[in-house]
Amino acid sequence: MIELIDVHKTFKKDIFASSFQVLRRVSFSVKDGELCGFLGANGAGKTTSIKIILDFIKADSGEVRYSRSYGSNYKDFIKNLGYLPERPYFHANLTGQEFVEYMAKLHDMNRVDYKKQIKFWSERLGIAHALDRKLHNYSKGMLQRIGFVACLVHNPHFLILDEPVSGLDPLGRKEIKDVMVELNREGKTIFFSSHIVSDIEEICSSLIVLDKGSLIYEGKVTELLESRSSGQCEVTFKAQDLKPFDKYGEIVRLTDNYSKIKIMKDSRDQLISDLGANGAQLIRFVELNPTLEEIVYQTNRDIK
Amino acid sequence: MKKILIVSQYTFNEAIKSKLLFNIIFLGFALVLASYIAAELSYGSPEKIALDIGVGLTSIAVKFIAVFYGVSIIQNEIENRSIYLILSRPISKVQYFLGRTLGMSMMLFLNVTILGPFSIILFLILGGSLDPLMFWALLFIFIESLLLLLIVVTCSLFCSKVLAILLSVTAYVAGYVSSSLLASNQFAKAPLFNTILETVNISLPNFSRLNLKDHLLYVQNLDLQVLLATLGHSLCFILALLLTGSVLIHRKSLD
Repeated sequence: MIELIDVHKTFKKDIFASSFQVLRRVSFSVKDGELCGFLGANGAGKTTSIKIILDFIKADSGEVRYSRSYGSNYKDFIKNLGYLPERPYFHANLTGQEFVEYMAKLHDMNRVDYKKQIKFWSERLGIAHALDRKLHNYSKGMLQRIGFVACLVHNPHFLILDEPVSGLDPLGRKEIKDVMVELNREGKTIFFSSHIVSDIEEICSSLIVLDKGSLIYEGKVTELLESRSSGQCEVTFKAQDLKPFDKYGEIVRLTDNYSKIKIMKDSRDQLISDLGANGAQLIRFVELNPTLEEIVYQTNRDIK
Repeated sequence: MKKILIVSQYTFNEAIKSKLLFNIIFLGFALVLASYIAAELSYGSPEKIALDIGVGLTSIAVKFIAVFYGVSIIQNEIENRSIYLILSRPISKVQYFLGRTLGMSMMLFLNVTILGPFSIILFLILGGSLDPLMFWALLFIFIESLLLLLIVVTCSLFCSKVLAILLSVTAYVAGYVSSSLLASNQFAKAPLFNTILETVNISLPNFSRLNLKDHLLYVQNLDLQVLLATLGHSLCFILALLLTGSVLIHRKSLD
């Protein structure tokens, strides 16, 4: 587990400029075994939080605690960490293989182990064919994949991924997300930052949302969705006579005897039995819940 | 120590794989040609002219590489964020700094060992005879470039690349001329300037002591004690610069 407690950070553009707050007393935790999404618009403070967790920059105040399962301090934690920065730039004159070997050697891995791991992950992430090419010949998506190989080569228990699917084509995004889910099922904790809400909604079990440097939500994705549920359903059905269903509300007539109606969830069973009793055919039943994107970006002031 | 060696190995590989080595080899041939032409056009001792030009050009080329390549070895990694990939692994900022500078010093050493022999071989072909002082001269060219590398890398940790280059060149010139100015006693009547000069002389490496070209060409004799003292003086500055750089990078915020 990583825990940020009351972390506050300000930056100054130059010595004469007044400082601006990037993080305002932010506290959150990423628990072991979670696939946790870290959401926020550009400039919300996601990357700054990650840099503080990784000790690249110091917080003005506050504290970062690391789980005892990784040891008691940052040095122990980092041995078990895999990190992929946002828009990574690698050493252009090295080949993909050399670059990942370099990263593996820094973890004191032996040759046999890292060769085996590089082969496995490069094949799994579809980059094995380009391992002997220099990195300056890689496309953006290929760099993201080789970065992911480097991130996983030492079999870390905790992954911090800063915008890992940016720059990837739809297939690449799906592959990376599948790998993340697979790794999480194996027990690895994943802290995944993105500003693309649908990616987080798709794979994450828990969510942390920042807005302009302040924490606005921390909790389960499902809990957030349920808490914002309208409680309504939309039912599409086929019936010639609509009179028996007038009592449920306004019916919108579609074509060919198809109609749809919005009802409260608790009337669902009654409507279904009425449809059956009146010879109507149930076509579709949809719960009208807002998407995570609607909740976070349209009403993000009060999602708590 | 292992981590430092790993970083240095890849820094060296990276430099080798860049166009730098090709440029050096090309420069080596250009240097031989320039020395040969100058020797042919001169009257007197052509071998000495060749050695003079060869050693001079080697020294300038290696210093140029130390300053202009060295200024980016850490600064570029910070700007490109590739430093994050390395420092998110079990390696400290200080180990990383030492590894990068060691790798770059290996590159400088390789440059001296490629360019230096070009001049010596031409000198021997034109009738000169081998002198142990030649190897000391090449060693001191390497040390001089190493000092400049450490100055520019250390400066790049607290200021921009352009300013780091300017500061390094200023430090080189000041370190080169301060002792001669003091020795000439020209400023004895200006105590403030004399004090400044003395401070500069103490706090910067004495680069003029590392230039053995005149001894090599004309005196051809220098006490081993003097050479060892110069070596010791330079090593002290190398250690001081490594220490300063280590403290700076340890405290540096990687925004």
